[in-house]
Amino acid sequence: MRAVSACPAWVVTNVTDDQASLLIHPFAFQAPEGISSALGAAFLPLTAKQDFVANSNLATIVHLDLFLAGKFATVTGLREVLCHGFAILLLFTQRFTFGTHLTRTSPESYDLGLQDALFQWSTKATDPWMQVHMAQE
Amino acid sequence: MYVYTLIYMYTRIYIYIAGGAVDTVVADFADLDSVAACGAVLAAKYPVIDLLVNNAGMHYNSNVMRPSKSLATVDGYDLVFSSNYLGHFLLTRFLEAALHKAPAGRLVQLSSTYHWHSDGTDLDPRLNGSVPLASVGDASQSTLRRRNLAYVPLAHPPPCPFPRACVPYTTHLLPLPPGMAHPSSRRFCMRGRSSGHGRRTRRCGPCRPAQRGW
Repeated sequence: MRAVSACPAWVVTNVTDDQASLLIHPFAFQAPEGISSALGAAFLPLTAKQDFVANSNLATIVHLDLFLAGKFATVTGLREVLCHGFAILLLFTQRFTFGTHLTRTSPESYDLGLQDALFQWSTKATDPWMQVHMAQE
Repeated sequence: MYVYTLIYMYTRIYIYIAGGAVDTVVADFADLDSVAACGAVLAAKYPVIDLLVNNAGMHYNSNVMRPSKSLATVDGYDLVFSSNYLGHFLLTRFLEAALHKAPAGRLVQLSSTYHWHSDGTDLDPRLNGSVPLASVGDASQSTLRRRNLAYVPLAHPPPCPFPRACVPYTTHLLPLPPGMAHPSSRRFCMRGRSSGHGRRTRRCGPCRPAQRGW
């Protein structure tokens, strides 16, 4: 079994308030474009190193890994600021970088220690519901 | 509302004409009892699942962020954490066996490139007394409300429910960039094919395409 994550980027929805919609909707993808990354994640053949499908490759173009993932950016809070800036930049440029892009996620995503710790915690947290289900069976 | 009803009916008819079928089970991902009930029903009805799309997600907007509002679910977890991560985790545990029975089962987690925002420390139970800080639902802590915003991009954290079978690990992130989701979108959509019943498409929960970019 394969697990893949997908990013639709900015997509027109009706859940934003009116003021935000005025800014977002002219630049956001419509539903048929927004769904493409999810469909790609569901059906495209992926190599072992591809586990993230995005509708825009702007993150690759601007090399987020170079200036966001470092300790300096994280400790100083620069990462937060730059990421907000990236989100805004993405809104205005995503149409120029549209496509089904197979890529990777941030370095922290592959921290096996964090993954295992959170997995163990999550399993323990959801065990009561699983045990009730088992007992009913 | 009527538009969505019409779209939903049109979709059901379209799928029926194409030889498929739609099955609907509603779940509130802010309530793990509801998720468990949904998972139990789906696991019983569908012994094999080819594709599970975890599409539900939310983001605190300005109204929810008011101090008077409780950010905790009925289970005591933070609302975003439960809706975006723990609910999916529990549902996937219920459906894990069915996914493994499919020859090429796939789990798709809707997320966001915005996950780069966080370094994941709010999700690490080792750093906060064996509990991920992101899971704590306490609206009285203003600092936490800020931290909630910080962890949102990683509210779907890396570990999938199959720690050894899922290689490489994938990130489970927030489905939409900030400001694009809303608590009312705590719904999920699942599509796949059941074994021995021909081509079938089923939808779990009132998945509204226009609300989530679908």
